[in-house]
Amino acid sequence: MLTSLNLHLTGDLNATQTRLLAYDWAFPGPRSATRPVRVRTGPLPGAPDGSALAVALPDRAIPVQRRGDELWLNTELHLRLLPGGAELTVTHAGAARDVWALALTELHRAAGWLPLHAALIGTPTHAVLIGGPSGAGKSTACLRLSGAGLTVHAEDRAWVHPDGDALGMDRTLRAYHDSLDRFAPHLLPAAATSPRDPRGKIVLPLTPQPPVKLRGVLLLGEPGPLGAQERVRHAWELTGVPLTSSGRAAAAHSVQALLRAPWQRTTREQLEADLRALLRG
Amino acid sequence: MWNRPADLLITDLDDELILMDPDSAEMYSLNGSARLLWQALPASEATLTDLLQRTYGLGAQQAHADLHAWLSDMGRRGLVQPA
Repeated sequence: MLTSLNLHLTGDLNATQTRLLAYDWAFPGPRSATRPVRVRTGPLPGAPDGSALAVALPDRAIPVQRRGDELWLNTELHLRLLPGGAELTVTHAGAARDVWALALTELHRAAGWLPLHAALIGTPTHAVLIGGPSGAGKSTACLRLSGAGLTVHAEDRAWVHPDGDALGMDRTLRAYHDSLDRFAPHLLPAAATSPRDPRGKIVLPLTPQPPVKLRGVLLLGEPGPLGAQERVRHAWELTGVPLTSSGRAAAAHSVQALLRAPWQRTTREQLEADLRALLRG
Repeated sequence: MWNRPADLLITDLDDELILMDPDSAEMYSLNGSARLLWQALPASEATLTDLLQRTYGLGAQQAHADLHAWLSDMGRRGLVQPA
């Protein structure tokens, strides 16, 4: 059906759901996909008794019930992690895009890939993560650095592996016209024919790039020192909270590996120089 | 018998162990004997007392008192729980 990083999904999903998954998740990793994920359409296994956890998604919160390495997501999808693989069951009505995203994120997390709400920018072979709070300027940084000749691998959907590999999973770059005009005029011709999202931002195509090697992490915001505990807090805030036992264990390992990369704070003014310095190693 | 709460986010920085409560985002740094005891969980009080005695050469009474103080403090912060 499709390959996503080191997961190989097979099963009896309908065409609409398969297309949705392919658009959001069909990104090959640096190595062959060795973890089988069997997808089945049908009734979900019985959920455990007890109250559900409300999990915040970008546009809403959904109820999630948990038991060890099993998740029931909004009565639409059931996930069971197995040694070396996983099983997914989706109802005949299908699952919403954000519910699939929650399930696939947890599957990848348990398989060793760490999801990060961060931009990933660099060259075709190496890149640096750029994190920071909402409004810190990650999207503008993508435009500016693209205009400066650097490769944007991800605007906000970055993945890293403990082996040092990194990959972006964004297929679009969103920007207001005046931002393009100011920071990335080279993208204006493409913007003329690009659609707009509900907020009026222009949705520009972003070509998926092959995996790269991670060179470091830059945090946009106030300048200053960055202690060990602060790096730990930022790493967990960038990746989010795992939902399964195996996801927690694998994420802890991946966070520790990520913390071994160089980390530093930066400002909008200093960003390009700091990024290029990290790329030089 | 004592155990680790399942939802804590654990990061091992070699010289210290960082525990983070995902709900409150509070962080705790464990080193020395606290790290030793926490990494031995799940374990009984007898096992943990024995670990303190063997590692630090404590007498049984002192190890028992130290362990109870540690369990009380860690339990109040939600970092250990009865199994």
